[in-house]
Amino acid sequence: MHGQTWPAISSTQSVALADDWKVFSYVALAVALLVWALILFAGLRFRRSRSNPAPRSQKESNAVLEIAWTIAPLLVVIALFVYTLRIESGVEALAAAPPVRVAVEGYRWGWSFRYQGGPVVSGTSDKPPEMVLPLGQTAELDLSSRDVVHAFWIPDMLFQRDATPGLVTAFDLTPSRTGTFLGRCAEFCGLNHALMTFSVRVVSPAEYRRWLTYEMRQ
Amino acid sequence: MKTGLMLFVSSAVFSATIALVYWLVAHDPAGTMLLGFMSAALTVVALYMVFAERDADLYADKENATPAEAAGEHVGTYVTHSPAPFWIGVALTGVVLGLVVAPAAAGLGIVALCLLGALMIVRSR
Amino acid sequence: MSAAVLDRVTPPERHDILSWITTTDHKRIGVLYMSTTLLFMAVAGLLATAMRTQLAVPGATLLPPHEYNEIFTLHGTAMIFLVIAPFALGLANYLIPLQIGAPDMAFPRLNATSYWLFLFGGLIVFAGAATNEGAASAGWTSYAPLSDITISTGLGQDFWIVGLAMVSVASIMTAINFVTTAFIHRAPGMTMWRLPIFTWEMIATALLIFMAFPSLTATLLLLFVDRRLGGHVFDPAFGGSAILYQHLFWFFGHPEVYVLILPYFGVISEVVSTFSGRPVFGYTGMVLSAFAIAGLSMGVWAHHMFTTGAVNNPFFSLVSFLIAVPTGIKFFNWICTMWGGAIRYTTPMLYALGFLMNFLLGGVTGVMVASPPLDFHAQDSYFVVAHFHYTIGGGSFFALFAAVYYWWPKVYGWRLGEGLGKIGFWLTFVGFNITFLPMFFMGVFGMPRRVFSYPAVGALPALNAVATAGAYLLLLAGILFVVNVVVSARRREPAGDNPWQGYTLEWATSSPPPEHNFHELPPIRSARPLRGVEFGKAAEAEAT
Repeated sequence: MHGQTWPAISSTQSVALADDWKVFSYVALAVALLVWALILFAGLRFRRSRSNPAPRSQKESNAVLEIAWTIAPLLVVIALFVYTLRIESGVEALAAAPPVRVAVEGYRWGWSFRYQGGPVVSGTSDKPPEMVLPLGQTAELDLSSRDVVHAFWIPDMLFQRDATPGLVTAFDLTPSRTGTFLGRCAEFCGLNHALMTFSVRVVSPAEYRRWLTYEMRQ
Repeated sequence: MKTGLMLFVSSAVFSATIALVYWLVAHDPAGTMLLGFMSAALTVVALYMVFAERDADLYADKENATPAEAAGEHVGTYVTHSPAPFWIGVALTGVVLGLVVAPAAAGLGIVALCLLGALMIVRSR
Repeated sequence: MSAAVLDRVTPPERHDILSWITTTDHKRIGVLYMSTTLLFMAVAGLLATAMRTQLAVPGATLLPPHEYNEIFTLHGTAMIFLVIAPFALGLANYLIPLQIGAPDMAFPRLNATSYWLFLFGGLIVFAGAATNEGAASAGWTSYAPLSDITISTGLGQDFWIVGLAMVSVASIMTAINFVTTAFIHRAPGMTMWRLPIFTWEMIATALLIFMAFPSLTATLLLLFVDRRLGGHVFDPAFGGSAILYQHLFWFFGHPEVYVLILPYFGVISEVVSTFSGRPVFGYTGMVLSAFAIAGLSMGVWAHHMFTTGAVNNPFFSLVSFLIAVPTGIKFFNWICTMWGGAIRYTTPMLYALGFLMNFLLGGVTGVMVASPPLDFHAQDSYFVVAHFHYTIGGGSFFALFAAVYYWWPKVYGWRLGEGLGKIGFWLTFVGFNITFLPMFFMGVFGMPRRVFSYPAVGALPALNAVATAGAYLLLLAGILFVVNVVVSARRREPAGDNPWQGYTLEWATSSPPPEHNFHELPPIRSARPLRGVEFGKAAEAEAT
């Protein structure tokens, strides 16, 4: 099972999410490096010493500079916002007629997966449930909770959604990589929150149909 | 005290604007109510500041004032010691613990607190 | 009236325990606040060390799940409500009247009442540990329905609620005191635009408390109603809403984190200015950005709810991005304050530099999680834990120690040792980064927060071990600080009125100040009244 290392980017939505991570990480790193460099330069260059015994200037404002460092960051964050908005609407888009629909319910401390027109798979930490999904086909997950707020998190798909009691929220996952991926509950839900795991096994569509038939027979 | 007035008036206007924008964008009653109450609170203070500013004439706001000019002005009586704060703390602790253990007892506690307050006011006269 | 005459007619200051219990002197109340918060910090720090010890290896059994949950709940609650915020309030209590040239706060008895409410409220929160099922264990955020009576059945949760309600009321009282004092009791010539930046930041903080804490008090009351008085406000089974809890809590919760940082922005401005020998660069920008941050911070609360699918993500994302702009203005102003200066690297200045380096990382990672798609992975993971520890830990905590070292001589009349202070700084800086830098990666690799253990798979075991090692360095740094206090107390090296050559009014009086703060004031014609002015006892001695 894949988990607890660099995410595998195993859904088409997560490709866009990974791009968002990359853009923001690079911008954050660039800004941090620039400002760290300025801090260290100022901090070292202007130390008091025999050659620098007193401050060389008591200047306390510079209108051009102050306006510049207000406008420039404003433009950067607005650009980041526009970018992030596009990514978000792509990721949150729901397909009109998804081939797979699973009603996911979290509870203290396990998960149940009710496939539309199919089996119910459920389990707790002793035997964590496994959600089988077909590669390349969009699955709509309808998520809710039986008791407290949980969160359905698949790190390898860079995605989670809260499971809130009294609320059903829907999102699409289109697996793009076969394999078994670890899933966690991410919203603190009490005693065994740390043990509330599940897994997502992505298989070929043919294999998925075989699994469905097998499960329905049980 | 124009700065203080500007502070509260601009805060009240800003928060009212955000509340309106939020309602139009999100149609979320919870958040709008919270922002609305916040704007209302700030507006109350801003209105007070408008009237207070009319009579304000602080030495602090005069750029060239010296302490000598303000000498002899009766600013107020500064209390240096008082048993009341500690006892209010103890009494409120009793009230909240009473609330947890037996809500009825908290009612008695609140009555006791009011009597304490009345006693302190009478004694300070 | 000369100082000598005043000393004869004023009754001598009392030092017995009763005088401390009945004090309404803002300086004593400030000391009470700050020493109480340092004690709470020691406890919360030990709780964190216990957590890190448990997490050092996967599958450890040092702390069973229920105890672990109580410990992280108390750690977060204490650090936020009983350490970082009240230390700042205590510091401001001490400093605001001194910085504005007033003899005390506007409402001295209200001031003292806030302290006692804070102390007893904090003790009540911890007293929950002695109840039938132990202390509260639903996290410092205490989400409903987890914190509802059917699931959190113990009294500890109720103790948490009522204790924090007292702390909340105390904070609102203090905020009212700060704003009134700063508006009405400034000395002649101390116009608002000559106030020290620290005082301005405290006015903005007070405004934030005034706007946000009532929501906390209401949320706590509603939670209590649900738990003990038959309410169902947050119970979906009866038509209540779990999402409503989150709105109400975070409407307070987000401004709260700006309450946790704005005072410390003020500390950094004071420290960097004094030790660079320069004025705070961009004074107007500093003041306006403080209020921009305060105002914007009231409109971002649901960025803690991006993954619910129940809020308008773009609105909150945009406003969250916008907050980066005034914060950036402050950073550039601090850099320009150092620029062209003659920087003296005393312990407080080292902590200020550490603040700048650390908080920057906290700030840029904050911009990262302001992007909802990014937050879909990072939410409730160790990435967020790293982010907020870099801002509150790497930021506020470092500035807290800068403040301790900087104003200690004013409060006590003697200095804390520079040698041990500097060693302590390096231990803290290195230890802090070793502890929290790995956590960004732990989060990306899929480790959720608030877990008592994790599987022995992938990179997590190694990263956790490194983080725990850092935590032990921090523990050592804490011990070293205590040693420094004891050693310096024995040495009692006299500090004088203005040991650091500071510019603001608190340095114009003796160390410690007399009960009424000032025998006399210098003329106040700028934001740096002491610049180029030899004032106080030294000047008096020279003149005679």
